[in-house]
Amino acid sequence: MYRYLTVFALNAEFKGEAVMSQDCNDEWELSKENVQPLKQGRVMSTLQEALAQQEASTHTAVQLKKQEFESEIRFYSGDDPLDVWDRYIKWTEQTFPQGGKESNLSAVLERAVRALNEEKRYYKDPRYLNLWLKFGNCCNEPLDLYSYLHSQEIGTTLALLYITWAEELEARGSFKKADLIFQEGLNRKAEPLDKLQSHHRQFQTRVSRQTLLGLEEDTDERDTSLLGTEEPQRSSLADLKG
Amino acid sequence: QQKAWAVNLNGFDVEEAKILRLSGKPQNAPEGYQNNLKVLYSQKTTPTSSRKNGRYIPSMPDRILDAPEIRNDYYLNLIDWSSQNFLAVALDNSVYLWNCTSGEIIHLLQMEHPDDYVSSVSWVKEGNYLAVGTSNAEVQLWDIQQQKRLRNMVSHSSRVGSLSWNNYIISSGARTGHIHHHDVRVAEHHVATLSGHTQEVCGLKWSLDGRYLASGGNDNLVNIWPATQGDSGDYAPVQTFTQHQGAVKAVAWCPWQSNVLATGGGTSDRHIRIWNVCSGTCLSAVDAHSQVCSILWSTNYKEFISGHGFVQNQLVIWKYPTMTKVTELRGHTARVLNLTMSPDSSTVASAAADETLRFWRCFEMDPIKKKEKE
Amino acid sequence: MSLHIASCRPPAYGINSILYQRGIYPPETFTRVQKYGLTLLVTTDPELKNYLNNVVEQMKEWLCKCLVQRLVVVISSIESNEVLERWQFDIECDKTAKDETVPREKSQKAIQDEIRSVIRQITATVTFLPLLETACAFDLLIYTDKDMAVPEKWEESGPQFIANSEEVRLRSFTTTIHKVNSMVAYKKDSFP
Repeated sequence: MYRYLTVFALNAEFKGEAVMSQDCNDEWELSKENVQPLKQGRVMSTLQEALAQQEASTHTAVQLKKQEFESEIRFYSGDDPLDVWDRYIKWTEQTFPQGGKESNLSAVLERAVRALNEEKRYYKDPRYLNLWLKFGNCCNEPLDLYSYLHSQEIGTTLALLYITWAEELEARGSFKKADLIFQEGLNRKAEPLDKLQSHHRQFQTRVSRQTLLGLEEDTDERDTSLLGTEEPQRSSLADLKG
Repeated sequence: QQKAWAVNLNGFDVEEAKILRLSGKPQNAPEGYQNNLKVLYSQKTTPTSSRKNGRYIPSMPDRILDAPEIRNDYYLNLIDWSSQNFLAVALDNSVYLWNCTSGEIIHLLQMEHPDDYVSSVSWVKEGNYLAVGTSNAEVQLWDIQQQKRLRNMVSHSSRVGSLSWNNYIISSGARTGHIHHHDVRVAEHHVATLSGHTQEVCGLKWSLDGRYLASGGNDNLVNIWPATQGDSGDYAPVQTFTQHQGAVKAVAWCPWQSNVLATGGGTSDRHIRIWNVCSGTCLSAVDAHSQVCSILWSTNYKEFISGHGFVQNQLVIWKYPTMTKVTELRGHTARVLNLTMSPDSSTVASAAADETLRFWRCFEMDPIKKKEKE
Repeated sequence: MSLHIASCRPPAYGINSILYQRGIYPPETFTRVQKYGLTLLVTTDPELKNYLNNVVEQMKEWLCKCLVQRLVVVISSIESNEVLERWQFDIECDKTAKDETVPREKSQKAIQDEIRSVIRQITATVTFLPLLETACAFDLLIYTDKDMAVPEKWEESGPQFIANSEEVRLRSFTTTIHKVNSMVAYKKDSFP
């Protein structure tokens, strides 16, 4: 009899714990559709905080932090301004899990890119390339951006530029051009080289499989028609909110 | 002492366990395989193999309205277009009505407490009443002619994110996972509770013939409920579909096949599925590569349109039953939250997190066909 | 005994769910199975199926004897061998239950509900886990009692930890004889 009692007591304890952890930790699951996946993943504590703040009408803490970043940018006198932008952007990504207008991410990226334009010392810095590539993600035509980076020698020593560029071309079916981009990166011994080589190998396997299946479309000529559409002119309409 | 260290470091006592693995490695994925989750991380548009079908669909919106402070929350249903051509839009703690015929804007209501917000709106079929769900668990009933609140129905214990009418019954889905039927004619409005979801109900639609209610939730389930309770006196779903691997907000009944339902899954699912609710079979499924937020069927064409969030933020028109893409409509710079259709079925309005409403004349009837119909 | 065996099944579905949801293998190599009131994805690849069966069968035996303390799914980059993600299921075993004949209080439905919520959480983790950009391999580690003799075809391994990791606890579930706590750890190198 005693044994049974202890077993049930144990179970009850377990249940209690489960309920408690649900109460304090499961907001991320209950709001899972309001969280945009991030390539680098999310810090759970920041995510839970951001989701909790959504409910409150004031985001005072967030506004304060934002102002802090803004004034740090304005009054920065150190020798690594990219560091501030880098932290600001990562903070924005983590703090506004649902993205949207409120996060202002694309505007911050654009400002960062402008502010640090022609900072030659960063051209080989992975943080700088990452900034540009994130900016490219919000652009209508990232291919133009990659060509620009290449022509300016931004990130041309880094494997990530060629991998991202080639992937975009591959997604559009421009296999020959994608291969040329890989070749260019390999010729320039972009770092880390083994990563670039492995991506190239994987790419070649995919292409040869597609060719075998006879699925390759000759789409290289199609590229120009794929340029993103521009934002249509806003007709002047009544604001919904006066 | 050392033991305590080891426990702290590893979360268990190394000396108390042996770690075993089966010799040899499980085989790897085929060379060249690329993680299919990549689609979730890049907004860049990839070309689609859409076939030209001859029908002209403008690729630009007919008009754009600003929708400042619209809540960027997947689980809410913030716009609805009435049969009397009024578009109801919930912007944070207010509801605005846009008279699409005259262009006039009416500020219908504002929540009293600044922390509360409107979480759903739904027009009755005749278009004279608007049901409003709120973050503080209310279901309000508004008379549009008089711009007056007729009722405030309180029975839920958390926010009401979804609403659907069936005659004099307004059904409401809450964050608790419960669905309530309210009979708007009687004082004791709360006439039934449907418990089939363990998390927030964000998609809710009565079938056009009023026989079934389809509900979708954050628990990834789709339930099909009968209009009347079973012999035991309880409501039990006649079907439960578990195939979606993400929350289900998009639910839409086919206007020309009363047993056919379309549903769409969230970020971890990204699929649109077509069901026969009588047999319970999944008739077809298509990978939309983006979070599905809304689906509407066309009545002018054998097509439906879907609105998407993470990460393409586009609208897609699909042919039914072939499930081929007719076209994609782009322009929203943040995720699409809701879609609604004009009473003449020619135009779709999309509300998005870029704080705009866009109107797409994508289902305008061919003038020749229109004549024939008349 | 049948109850015990039923409670030993979940790991196979958990592992399959992780392999599918994390994109380790192509989605077209999985099939849908209805179980626990869920649609679960299970690999159809014969070799992979065989490998998982071998591990799970052995684990089942140990589970029912309460010899298992932990199951770990390790996901690492094929290129660099670096561990990128580590799913850990701690199993607390109620050893008194082993020789009992009286059915335990917990209903199958309650157990299923809990298992369902764990698997659903695995599905939802895409919201915070990093994208696995490179081709990845997986490994299964079973922590057993230290006195256990290593069976044929099995070998001892290190814990394969992630050096600098972020950890998130998932829901736990209890079966008639086990309590399972789950957790996922992932690299946090690139965080601010």
